[in-house]
Amino acid sequence: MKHSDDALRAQLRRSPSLSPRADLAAQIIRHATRLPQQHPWYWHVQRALDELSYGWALKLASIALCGVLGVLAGQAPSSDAENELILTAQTFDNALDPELL
Amino acid sequence: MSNSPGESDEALMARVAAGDQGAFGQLVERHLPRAYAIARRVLQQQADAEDAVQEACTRLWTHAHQWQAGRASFSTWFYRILVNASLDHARRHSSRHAIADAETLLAELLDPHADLASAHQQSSEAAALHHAVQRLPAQQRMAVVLCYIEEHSNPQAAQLMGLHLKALEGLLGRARKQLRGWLARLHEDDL
Repeated sequence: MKHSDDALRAQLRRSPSLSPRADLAAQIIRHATRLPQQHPWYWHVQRALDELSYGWALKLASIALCGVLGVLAGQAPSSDAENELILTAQTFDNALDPELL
Repeated sequence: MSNSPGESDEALMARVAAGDQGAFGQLVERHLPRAYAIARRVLQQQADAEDAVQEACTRLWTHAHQWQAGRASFSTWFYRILVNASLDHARRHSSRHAIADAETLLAELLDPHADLASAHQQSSEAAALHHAVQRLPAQQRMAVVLCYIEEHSNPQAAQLMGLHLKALEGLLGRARKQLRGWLARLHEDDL
């Protein structure tokens, strides 16, 4: 029994290798890389954190600058030119009012 | 981007996980011959073997994050995917008992270095052996291919098939018994 097992194994081991056709690798690579890679949820969280933390000092400075400019703009007195523009617009608006025409 | 030919599977896999298509190409080129040989011996049709290999390689790309260095070697991880894909194909097509196209198989098995007469004799014997292996149930067939043709150790093959070692040895024992019977009958018919 042992001898016939050994002979069978040797026969199986000697069987020639089966090779893929030449263009199969290229076909598989083309097919697979057309598909998007799937990532687990924690990968997306990690990526979002990475993106957020990239250049954090610059982002913080930009937000602070916007805040300061907003406060300054709110406190600054409106200019004469701007007031004239508003008055002109209101005059036109009144002149074009259909009830007054 | 580095692209050294001697890069380990694990290093390439780390690059694949980062979306490197070049590294993926290298891994496919490196493992395709062996992966195809396993799938082709387990599945009756050449097209099914190609589908199974393509499925395994595609999963290697799309699910690259699932491979974790240190938990298992790349080979174990990839060939386990291939074994599952091949067995799935074998189950799906179990109702289709078509014997593989004999001429295609003979052409695949033909040794280019042998003279025509002896090459045909050898390839006929190889085809007969291939058909005998094909007649085994899918799990036994996979066990025979992994252990006796691809020469994995029994524990390695059991790991790839997700089986206990004793279960694998049982499959091999039953497969040997059936193959011995079939091949002996084949020789009797030849005489």
